[in-house]
Amino acid sequence: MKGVDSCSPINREGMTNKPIVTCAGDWNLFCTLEAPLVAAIPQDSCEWRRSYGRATKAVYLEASFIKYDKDRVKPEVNLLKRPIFHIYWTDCVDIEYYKTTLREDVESWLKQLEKAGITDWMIVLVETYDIRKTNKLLPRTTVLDKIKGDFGVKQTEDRFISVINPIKSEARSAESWRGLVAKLRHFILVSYNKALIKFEEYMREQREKRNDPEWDFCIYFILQEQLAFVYEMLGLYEEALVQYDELDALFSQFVLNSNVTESPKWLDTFKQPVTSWHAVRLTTLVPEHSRELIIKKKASLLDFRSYLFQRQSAMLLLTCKPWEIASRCLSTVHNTLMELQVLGASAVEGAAACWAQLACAETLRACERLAAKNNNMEMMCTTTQAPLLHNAKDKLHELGKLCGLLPGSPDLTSEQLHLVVMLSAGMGDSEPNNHKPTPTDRLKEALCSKTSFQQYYLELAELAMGTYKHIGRLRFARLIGRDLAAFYSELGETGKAVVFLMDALRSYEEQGWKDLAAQTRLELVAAAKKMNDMDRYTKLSATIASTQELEILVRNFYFEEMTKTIREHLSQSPDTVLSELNECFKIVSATLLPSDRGVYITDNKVQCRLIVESNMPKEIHCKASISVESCKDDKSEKRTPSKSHKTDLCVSSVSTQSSPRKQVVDTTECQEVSLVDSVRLDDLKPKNPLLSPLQITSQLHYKEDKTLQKATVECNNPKMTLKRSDSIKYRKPSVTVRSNYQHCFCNESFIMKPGVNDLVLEYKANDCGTFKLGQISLLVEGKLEFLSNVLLSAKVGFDVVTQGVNVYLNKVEPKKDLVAGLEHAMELVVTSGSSHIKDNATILLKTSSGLVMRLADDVTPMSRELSICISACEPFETKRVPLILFASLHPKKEKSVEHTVWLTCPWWEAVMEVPLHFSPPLLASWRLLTSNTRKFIHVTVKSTVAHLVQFLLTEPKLENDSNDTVSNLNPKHAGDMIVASDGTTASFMWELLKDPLVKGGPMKVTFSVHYKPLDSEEPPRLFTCPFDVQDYTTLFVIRTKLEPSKGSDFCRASQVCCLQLSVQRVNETEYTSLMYEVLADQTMWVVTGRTAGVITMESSSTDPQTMTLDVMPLVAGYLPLPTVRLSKYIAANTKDPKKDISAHPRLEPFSPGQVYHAGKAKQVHVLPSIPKEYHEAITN
Amino acid sequence: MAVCVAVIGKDNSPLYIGGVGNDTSTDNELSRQWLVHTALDALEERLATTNSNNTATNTNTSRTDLRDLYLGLLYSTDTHKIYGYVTNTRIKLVLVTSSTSPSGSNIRDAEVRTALRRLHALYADAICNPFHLPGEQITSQKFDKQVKNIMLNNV
Repeated sequence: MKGVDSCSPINREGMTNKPIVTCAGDWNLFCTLEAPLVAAIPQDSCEWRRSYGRATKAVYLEASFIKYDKDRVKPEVNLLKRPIFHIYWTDCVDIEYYKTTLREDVESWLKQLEKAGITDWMIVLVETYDIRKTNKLLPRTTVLDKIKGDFGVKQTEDRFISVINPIKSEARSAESWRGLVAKLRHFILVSYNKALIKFEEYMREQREKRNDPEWDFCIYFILQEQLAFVYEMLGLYEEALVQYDELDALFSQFVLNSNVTESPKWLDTFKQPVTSWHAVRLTTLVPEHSRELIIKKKASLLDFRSYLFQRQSAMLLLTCKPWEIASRCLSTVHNTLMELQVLGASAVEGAAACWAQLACAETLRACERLAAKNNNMEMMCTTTQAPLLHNAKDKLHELGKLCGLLPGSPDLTSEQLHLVVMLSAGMGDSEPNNHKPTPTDRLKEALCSKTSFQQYYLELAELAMGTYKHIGRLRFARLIGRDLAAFYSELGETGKAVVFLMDALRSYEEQGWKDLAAQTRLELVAAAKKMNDMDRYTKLSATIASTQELEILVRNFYFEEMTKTIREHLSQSPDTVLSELNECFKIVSATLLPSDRGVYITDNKVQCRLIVESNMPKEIHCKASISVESCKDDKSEKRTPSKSHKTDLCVSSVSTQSSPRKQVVDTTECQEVSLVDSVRLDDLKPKNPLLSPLQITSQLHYKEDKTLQKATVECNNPKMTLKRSDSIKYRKPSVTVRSNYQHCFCNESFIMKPGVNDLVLEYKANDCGTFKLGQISLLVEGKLEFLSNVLLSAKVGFDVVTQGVNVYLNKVEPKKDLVAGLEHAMELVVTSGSSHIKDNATILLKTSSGLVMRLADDVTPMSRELSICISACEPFETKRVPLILFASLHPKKEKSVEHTVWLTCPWWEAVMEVPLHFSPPLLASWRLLTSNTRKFIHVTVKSTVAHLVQFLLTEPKLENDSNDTVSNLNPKHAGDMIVASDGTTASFMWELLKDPLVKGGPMKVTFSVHYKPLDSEEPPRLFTCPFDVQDYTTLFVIRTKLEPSKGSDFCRASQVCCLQLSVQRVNETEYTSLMYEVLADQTMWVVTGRTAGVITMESSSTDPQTMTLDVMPLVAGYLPLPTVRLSKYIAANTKDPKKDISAHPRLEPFSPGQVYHAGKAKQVHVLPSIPKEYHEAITN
Repeated sequence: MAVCVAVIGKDNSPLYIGGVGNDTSTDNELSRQWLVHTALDALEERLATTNSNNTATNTNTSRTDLRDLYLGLLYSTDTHKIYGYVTNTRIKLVLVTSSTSPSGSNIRDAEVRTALRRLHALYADAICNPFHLPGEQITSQKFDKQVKNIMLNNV
C-alpha cells in the first residue's frame, strides 16, 4: 500500500517531498479513503499565508499518508521526514462503543501528540449515509458531539470533522468531502508554516555556527536543501532557487576565503582528487547519486558543483528560463575552474576542461531542447548561447592541445593516448537509449582522432562565430575568427586563415586599435610567408616595418625582409606591387611652387614640393610621382576645338591685340573652380567641434527685492554645441587602382629618410588647360609602389597656358595718334611665346584701300601688300620689324579715318584683323563775309591731332569753278603760316570779284594748301578742302536810324525815341513779301507798339521802304541799335492748296549774305534822363 | 585589484589602456587588449538594451538606471572578469580583474563600482588639461600613475 510505504521519499526521484500526514485510529478505514484523498488534495490551489510578511502565494499541495507510529511522533529536525499533520480516523457511530473504547484511544493519541508539542491534528469521523436515519429526527448527541465535548476547546473546535463516506454513497458525500479536503489543505499549510519557521530558525542557528571548526558544509547543505525541496514541492521554484543560490554563494565565499585565511576542515572533502567529470544532466530530477556522495562527504568539487548546477537548472527549467541556465552555466564553469585551482584539488590534466566543455555543451543541448518547443525562447537563448559555444570551443581546443590533436602537432605520444583514455573514462558512460549523440559521446569521439576532433572543433567555432554575428557581437566573432585562422593556418589552409585575419585586421584598424592591428598583421605576414604570396608578404613587411607600436627589432627585421623580397622575388616581375601609402608614409603637405612668369606655361617645368613623413625605420631609395589630372569642366571642353587644329608649333590660343585681355578673363574663371596651389593635409581634416569655443556668458538673476536669486552660466547657442555629429565612419580609401601616370610630377630618385622628407617634383606641362594633382605614388626600391589618393579631394591644381606666338602691330610712339597724310613709323612685333618659330615663317600684311606701307629700311615704293619674313625664333623671344605706314588724305571733312590691316600668319588659319584709326592732320572751315554787296571768303585752318604737331602751311590757294575771279587778300611776303594742334590756327581771306548787281549762281570753291610737319624734311603735301558757296548775292540792305522824339535834341533814357527802319532792294529777287522783326535787347530797349510787320517790296523799284517804330532806351550810354531780322514772308495760300500745304502764312530765313544789315554795328549815344528839378525849371 | 584599465572613446577607439601585472605567454598586455576590445561588444549590447528599455517604459526605475553609469560585469572568462562603465558622453571605461589572483577573485561589485567612479573622475581631470585635445589618446603621466594606483588598490 502506498500510504504505508514509509521508505524515505528521498529515495524516490522527482516531486516526492510531500508533507507527511500520519493517520491514527482505524487504519483500514483510512485505506479505503486514501486514494480519493491523495487525488483530491492537489486538485485545487490553496492560499498560503506566510509569516514575516512574506508574500502570500497560491500553492498546490500534495500529501503522503503514513500510519501513525507513536515512536516517531517526536519532532524531527529533518523537514522532509517529520510528519506535518496528524489525523485520527474513526467510523464509530455507536456512542456506547465510543464511551467504552474509542474515547480512551483518542485520549492517548492526543496525549502523545501533546507530549510532543504537536498541535496540528484533526479527528475525522466517517459516517455512512443512512437513508433511514435522515427520515428520523437527529439523535440528540452523535459521536462527533461527544468527541467535541470531550476534547474540544475553543481554538480546536474546527478540528473535528464528520464526513460521509464517499466510497459507500458517493452522491451524498460530495459536500462533506470537499469540506474535509479544504480543511485538510488549510491545516497542512498552517502546520507547514509553523514547521518551516521552526526549521528556518534552526537552519539559521546552524549557519551562524559556520565558523566553528566542527561545522560541516555538507551537512548544512543537505539541511538547507530540504527547504528547497519543500518549496519545489509547493511549486515555489524561485524560492527554491534562492535556497540553492544562497548555498552556492556560501560555498564560493568559503573557497575564496580559504585562499586568504586558514581553510576549515570540511573543505578538505572538496580537495580530494577528482576522479569523475560526468556531464551535468539538465533534468528536473534530483541526481541522487551525487546527493549521496555529498551526504557521505565523498563528493569531489566537480561532483558538488555539478549537483548544485543541476539543481539550479532544474528550478530554472521548471520556471522555463533556459537562457538563465545558459548565463549561469558560464559563471559556474568559471567559478568552478577557479575554485579547483584555489582548492588545489588534484585531477587529471584536462579533466576540468572536459567537465567545462561538457557543461557548456549540455547546457546548449538543454536550451535547444526547450527552444524547440517555444520560438520566443529561441530568441532569448541565442544571446546567451554564443558565449557558451565560445567557451565550449575554447575548452575543446585546450583538450586538443593536451591530447595532441591539433593540426600540425606530431603524432600522439603514449602519454597522450593514456590521457585520452583517462579523460574518456572520467566522463562516464553516456546516457542510454538516446538517438542523438550526447555531448559526452561527441567529446569522446573528438578525442579519439584528429579528424573527428577537427570536425567538432570547426563545427563549434563556426557555430559560435555565426551566433555572435547573429546577435551583433562582431568583435567576439572576429576573435573567434582569429582562433579559426590560427587553426586553419596549422591545418595548412592558409587561404582561409587569411580571410579571417583580413576581416579582423580591417575592424581593428577601423576603430583605431593599433596594437591589435599590428598583432594581426604579424599573423598575416606569417600566413603570407607560408602561402608564398610574395606580393602580400612584401606589402605586409613594409607596413609592419612602419608600425610604430611594434618593437624596433621587429620593425627592422621586416624592413630587411621587405628589401630582401623585393630584391629576390619581385625584381623579375614586370609590374610593381601596389600598396596603400598611408600605412607607411604620411603626406604632410603638397605645394605648387610658383613659376617665374606668374603663370605656368606649356613646355615649361611645373614644380611641386611634397613633404612626406616616412615611418620606415631606415632609409630607402624611392621614386616619387604625382599623377596630373586635367580638370574636366566645361571650359576645357570649349577649348578642345582649338586644340584640334593645333599646329606643329603647339599654338592654340588666338592672340590679337585685344585677345590677351580675353585670355586673362578665361584664366580667372578657371581659378574660380577653387583650385588651390598648396595644401596641408592636416587642414583638410574636419575641425574638431570640441575645440571651438563655447559662447558662454555668466548671468546674475535678482529677486524682486534686489537680492541675488541665482547666478547662472548660460550657453547662447546650445544648438551649435549640442549638435549631434555623426561619428566619423572609417572609410577605407579604395586605392590600389593605379592612376594614369603618363602625365605626372616626378622625382626619379631620392633617398627617403625616416621622418620628414622634403622633395621637389617636376612636371613638364605639354598641354595647356587646368590640371590638378591626382594620385601620389612612391615607388620603393623600384618594385613596391605605394599609392595615395589624399590629394584628390584637396583640389590642388594649376593652370597651364600656352603663350602662343603673338603678333602685334604697334606704333613706335604709342602716345601719338596716327595721322593720315603723314608717314608713320610702326613695327610688327612677333613674340614667340613658349614655342619655337621656324625659319622662313612669313607674315603677309594687307591693308585697306587708302593705306599703304613699306619696310622702314627699304626704299621700295609703298604698297598695299607686304610680306615679311621672320627669322627663326627661340621661345620667349621677341622680333620687331619696323614699318612705315601712310594713310592718304581724303578730301572729306571726316574727323577720323578708319583703316584695317590684315595679318596672315602661317600658324593661324584665320586672318588676324588689326583696326587702325587715323585722324586727319588739318581741318579747314570757311565763312562768307559780306560788306554791302562785296563778298569775302574767310578760311580758317586748324589741327585737331591729339598730340602736339605743328604744320608749316605754304601756297594757300582758292579756286572756283565759276568765271568770277578771286582776289587774294593774303599778305604776299609774310612768310609761312604755322598751324599747330595746340590751338594755333591760320586764317586766309579772299574776295570774290563779281558784278554786284548780277545775281551769282552757286559756286564750287576748293581751298588748297601745302603743309608739312615743322620738324620733318619730307616734301610738303597738299591739303584740299572743297566747299560750295551759294545764295551769296546781297538782295536787301537794311538801314536803321534812331532819332529823338520831337521836341528833344537828344535821345535820353526813358524817353520814347523814333527808330527809322529802311529796307532797300539792291538786287533782283523773287521775294517781295518780307517780314521784319525788331529784336531789341530787353535790358536796353523797349519797343512800344508793334515790333514786326510785313512789307511788300515792289519788284520794279529799288527805293527803300521806310518804317518808323517807337522805341525807348532804358539806360543811358552808347547803346547798340536794336537789330532787325528780315525773313521771307509766304502768305497763306488758300487758292491752291496743292501747291502749298500750309494754310497758314509762314516765314523763311534768308541765307547769310543775302541781307546786309548796314546798321548792325552802329551805336547811339543815349543821355541820362533829365533830372526832375531841371525838367521843372525848363517847363516853368 | 585590477589588471587592466581602459578608456575607450565615443568612436570605440582606445584612448588609454593601462595594465599592471607580469607578462606571461598567456597573460600579457596584448591579451588584455583583446579582452577590452571584445568587452565593447557586451558593453554596446548593454547600452542598447538600457536605451530601448528607456524608450519603452518611462518609469522612474529606468531613469535611475540611466543615471547609473556603472554597467556591472560585462562578461567573464576563465581567468578574467571584465566590468564596464560609461559616461554620459559615451566614453567607456573598462576594468579587467584577474580571477586567478587572490585579490582579483575576491573582488566585490561595490569595489569595482567605486574604482570605476574614481577612474571617471581621473579621466575628467585629465581631459580638463587645456593642452589635451578631446578625442586624442591620453598620454598624461600623472593620469597613468593615478590609474595604476587604482589598479593596485592602494589609493
